[in-house]
Amino acid sequence: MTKTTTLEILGWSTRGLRCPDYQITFEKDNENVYPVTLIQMPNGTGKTTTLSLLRAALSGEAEDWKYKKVLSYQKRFNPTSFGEFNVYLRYNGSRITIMMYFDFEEGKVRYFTTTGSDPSSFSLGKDNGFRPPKDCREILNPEFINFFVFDGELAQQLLDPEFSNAEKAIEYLYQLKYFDQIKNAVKSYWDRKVSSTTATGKKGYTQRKQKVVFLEERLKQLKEEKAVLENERKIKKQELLALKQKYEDKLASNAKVRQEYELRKTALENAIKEVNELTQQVIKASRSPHNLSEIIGHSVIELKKSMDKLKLPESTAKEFFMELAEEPVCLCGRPLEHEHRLYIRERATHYLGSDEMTLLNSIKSEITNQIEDPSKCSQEYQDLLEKYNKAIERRMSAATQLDVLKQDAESGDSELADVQKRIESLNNEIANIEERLKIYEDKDTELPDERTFGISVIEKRLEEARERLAEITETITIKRKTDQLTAIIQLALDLSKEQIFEHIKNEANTRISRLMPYNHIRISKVDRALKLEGQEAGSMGETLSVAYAFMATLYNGVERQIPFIVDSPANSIDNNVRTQVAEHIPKLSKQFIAFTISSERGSFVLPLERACNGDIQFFTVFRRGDPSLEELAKKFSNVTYTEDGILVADREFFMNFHKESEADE
Amino acid sequence: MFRLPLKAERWFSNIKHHFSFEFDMYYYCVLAGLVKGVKQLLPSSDTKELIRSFPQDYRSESKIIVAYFLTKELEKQGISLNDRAAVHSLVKRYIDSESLNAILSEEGMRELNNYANGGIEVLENEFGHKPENIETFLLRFSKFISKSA
Repeated sequence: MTKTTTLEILGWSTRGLRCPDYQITFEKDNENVYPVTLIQMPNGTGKTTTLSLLRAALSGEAEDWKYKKVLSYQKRFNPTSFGEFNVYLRYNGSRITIMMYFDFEEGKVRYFTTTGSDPSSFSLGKDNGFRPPKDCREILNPEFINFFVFDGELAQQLLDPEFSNAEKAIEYLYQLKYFDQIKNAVKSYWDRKVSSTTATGKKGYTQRKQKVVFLEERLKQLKEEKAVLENERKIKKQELLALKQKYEDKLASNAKVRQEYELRKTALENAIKEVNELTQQVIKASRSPHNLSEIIGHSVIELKKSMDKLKLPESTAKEFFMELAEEPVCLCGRPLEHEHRLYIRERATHYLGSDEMTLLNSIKSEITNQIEDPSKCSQEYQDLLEKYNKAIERRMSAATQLDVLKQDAESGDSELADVQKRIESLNNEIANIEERLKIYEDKDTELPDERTFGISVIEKRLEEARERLAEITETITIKRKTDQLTAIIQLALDLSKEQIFEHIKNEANTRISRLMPYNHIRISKVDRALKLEGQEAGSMGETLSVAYAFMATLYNGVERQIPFIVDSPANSIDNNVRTQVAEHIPKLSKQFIAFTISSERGSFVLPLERACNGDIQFFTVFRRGDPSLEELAKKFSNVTYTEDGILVADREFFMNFHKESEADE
Repeated sequence: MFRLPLKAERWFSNIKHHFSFEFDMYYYCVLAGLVKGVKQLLPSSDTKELIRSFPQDYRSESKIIVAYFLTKELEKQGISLNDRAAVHSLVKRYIDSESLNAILSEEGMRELNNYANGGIEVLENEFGHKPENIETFLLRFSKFISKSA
């Protein structure tokens, strides 16, 4: 029986960092955590910072952070020379504490990990590092963490193969890495065999060996170069996304243009959606050649008519004559001699078999069914193109109107203009990286190894070089066997992936259909990213619902229960979808923690509270300094004050909290 | 086996994410090759294996595509539609019921692949450069087929 892996977040605490100091716990009693927790933090309080800290604490990634990055976590006001972030976990019943110690003088982060014991046993004098239990590593790795510490506003990243790596996450979850380990073991075995061979004296051995080594190095180098560029692109894309969000927020905070901006933005989104839908309709319609040209329709009908006239297919099938050739006498009663049989068999080949006859008849009837009137088919297609053209024009006009508004707003706001400038520059930089990346896809096989950049070309040459080395080292049989074994392992991996991906896709689609019963958006493929059926992206609400459904499928398996931490779970979702999402959240995972802002409460919190039968925690965290909020907090009992922050654990406070001016973080 | 010219994969690279199947790229190449009557034989290293039979979404269209292919082949080989023996012989060579979805015999498939190979050349000449966006491609392609058929 499969053991269930359970990870729970019991709480966290932060001190001396960019977000306010506070400590939060999700424990209901000694054994259970609250299934749903909402943490309301106005913009500027450190939601994004807390989320990044959580990701870093759970993945150990901050060990590699650069000086500048570490310093970006230092408090802006009254900075101290150190800071810390602790996260308290329970993994399969055992407590784990991971502490990140920020040394702002050195610009370094050190990790300390305790398992099953009191966190006070940390010894700061000894850097014991990021050491969660070994079996916990499949969950606590950077690739996977992004899938459960999730930024709702960036849900569309799941649809972008350059951002997310759904494939990797699934590989970790389903332990597919072992296939690669087996492949590596097989390769090591062959390498050992080759190196221990006695073929040293044979002519050409050294050259062949050197060739293999050179190609292995070249391949490694190219893959590394490519990975560096891809990473650079990923970072720039993240910066671009953050800047776009900043631009949107700034524009939305300008009371003069806000309403008009929202209107034009919605108009553009609708126009894009219409074009996307029509694109799929045109692609589908264009698959019938007779739709594109009336002449094609007529010529196909002509073929059908000619076949009718020529009586094709004939009424007698080849099988009839073949059987006749086996008979002792002909139909006319004359005995059949050997030469007669040969002649009948030879003539039989000129007839269609009964299956071919059926096929030809089905082609003819399809022509009749589909092309009753060629001009009508072609006219309907032209009408569709006309509609398509108009939708494209509407999209262009909506885009222009939005641009004009943006330009007007930018002319009166230099900061906004600067953000836009940086967005344009980033777009160019990303395009430039993409251009540079193309070289690794090059298929040119003419150039020498040292000037070849196409990874697949080098891979093929390496394979050939290994083959030649195997020949000379007389390890050809072992080579063949290892190749065969590797191919079997690869096939097993591919089949496993195919079936797992298909299962996840189907499960997620069932969830999507429950979340949005009147919407036809579905996942068509789970790969590096999620691919939607017939479209690049849905609306923000659709994308978020797709992302939730996908992740719920990953977490709700019988083999594991993982918490789900989301930033802005309801932002950008229409009110009716908000309610549906809220109703499904308790089913997503056993522990759901969300960071929200006050504007997200509508149509979301009450349905969520109902769906989890009131088993929910409400926290509000905000910075000190707003007298009216501080005054309000005094009326409540569950309030914790720190040097720069206030934490209120109260439902009523949560519901009535409203901060008018939410600054950018 | 349907085979896609590698050149086509590169040519469609900016817009291929809009297609549900790689076969869509193949189909556009085939149609371009058929309307212009251009075939080209390519070494298998310049093409890639696509699929053994027509995808499910092409189930009904596949028969019209095959019928149009037969029409163009009859025309190319100068066979009159009244010549029963010649029409019969060509149909017999090119269709195969072994796999109902494939419809085509090995020889028929090879010839259709040659139209796809020729078709990508036709598209390159017609468009000048690879399409930047799906809308322009669909509109231009439709216009091109309509005027060339």
